Amino acid sequence: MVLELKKITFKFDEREILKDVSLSFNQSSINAIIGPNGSGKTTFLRIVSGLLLPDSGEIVIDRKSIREFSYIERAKIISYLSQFPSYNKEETLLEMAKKGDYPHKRLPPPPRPFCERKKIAEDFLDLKNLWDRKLGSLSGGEIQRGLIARVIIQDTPILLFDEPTNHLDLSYRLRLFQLFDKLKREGKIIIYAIHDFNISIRFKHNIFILSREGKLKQFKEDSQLIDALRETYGVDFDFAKISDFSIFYPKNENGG
Amino acid sequence: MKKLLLILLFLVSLFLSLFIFIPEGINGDLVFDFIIKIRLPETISAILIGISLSISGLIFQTILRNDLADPYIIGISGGSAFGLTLSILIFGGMGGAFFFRATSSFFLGFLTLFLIIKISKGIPEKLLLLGILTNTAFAALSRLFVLYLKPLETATINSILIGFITPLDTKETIFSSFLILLSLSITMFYFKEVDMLSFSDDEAKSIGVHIEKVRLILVLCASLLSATAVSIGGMIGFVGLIVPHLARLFKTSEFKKLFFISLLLGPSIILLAQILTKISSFKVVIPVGLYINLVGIIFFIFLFVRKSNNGS
Repeated sequence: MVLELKKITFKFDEREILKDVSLSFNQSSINAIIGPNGSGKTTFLRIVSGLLLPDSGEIVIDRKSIREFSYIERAKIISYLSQFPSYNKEETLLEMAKKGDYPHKRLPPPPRPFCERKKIAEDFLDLKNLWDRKLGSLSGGEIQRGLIARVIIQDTPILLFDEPTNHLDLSYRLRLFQLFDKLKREGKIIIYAIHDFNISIRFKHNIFILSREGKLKQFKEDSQLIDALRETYGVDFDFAKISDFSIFYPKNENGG
Repeated sequence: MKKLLLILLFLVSLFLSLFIFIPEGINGDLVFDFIIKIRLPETISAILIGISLSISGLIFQTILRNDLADPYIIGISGGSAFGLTLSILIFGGMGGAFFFRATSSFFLGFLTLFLIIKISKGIPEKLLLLGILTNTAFAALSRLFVLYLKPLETATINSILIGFITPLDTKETIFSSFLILLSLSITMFYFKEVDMLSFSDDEAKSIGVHIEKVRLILVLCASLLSATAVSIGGMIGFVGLIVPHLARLFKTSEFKKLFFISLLLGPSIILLAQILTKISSFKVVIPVGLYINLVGIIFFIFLFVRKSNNGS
């Protein structure tokens, strides 16, 4: 499966959030989108997921435009975790996560048995003791794990997450990224927005920067990345090489 | 167990509504006639109103994500009642055939709701405030029209504004039952989708639910239900508010379960209120809406205070 963006342009209040963006995401890839506040990471994910139509350009999945899919067909291919989740406090975590199975009930066949999908979420996100708890009684991080479980249960070949590490402590961030690795080995395409890019670099995810000018570009070399970071955030960065990866940090406390 | 209790409650209120407080002087064969010709139609009307108001309330609370919503509070009853008033103005008497009453009350109710939702942009506080203002405005307009009408029509409009259960004839019963069954069946078709409404619109769509479509269809069903209720019983408020809340006491948030619980609870409550009007007066007929509004307002204040205390 290939996910292609063809000349995507999107304007909001005259500002070009995406400007002529052409990219393709290959099977078995994990892609981190970083960028300053308000640069349009959420808009980008919503466009890729088909929730928002671009002003021009086309999202193409295996040579078929996303516009041609019905709601259910699309939900079997792309799942999306919003940064602003909404849920019913009275529901149990399992009741909520189970809703991810909806498209597979409406349009068989399911990707793999429900219990298997549930088990994956349970193992990686440590949900065994949380399934039957009401959402109103859980902490932010626990709810976030449940919301991610909903996406895992939807089990689509393309998964989009808007700041999936929100509210998660360090150990669960690592577990989430281990889960991403597993999904990658299964051939899935994962795209997520994040602010703390060091952890994405540590896991060797593809790093994309969405600039204020509406350009989206991948950076592979440390030296290129450091220039791009300075340009993006207006902060001078330095990096330290540690075995086979690097850590990026601001050079000075005042950012200059 | 709980199901059984609900069914029992319904059967008891049904029994009481049919057989209790038979006026003095009616005995022998007359009793049977009285029950069939007077009590049965009243009871059927009460059941139809109970079902439509409570399901309509449940749908509005769910769709608008606002647990203080109810067809009366958000102003749709006011719109529908005004539709009825117009129908009375045009056709005179009781406002023409039931069909015209129901249609006119549906369109005005839906139009009102549409405008209120547009203007309030779905902000809960605005929605409730606008709804209450709309009700007051429509009631004032209707009262203004009353000045130009004959006493019989005046009485009709007054009972619409207060909430008064009118017995229906066979044709009317069939027609209103049809409208209610239609809305209920369409609603039942969307049980799963309604539960997805607890997600944000983006997430619901990404799971494959055409959320705008579901919302529109269900709002139409709820409007049709409340218009039917208003056509039968006028502006009986708060049933649509109270019943879904009582249903939630059964420890569930699943729409399907709440739906069936409300389906039994709604009629029971109207029937019981109807019986109450008979206890208090054998000669003067007290409109059922009075009781329900009094209890409903207390309940509303209780919910409102609890909501503010929760800080949400």
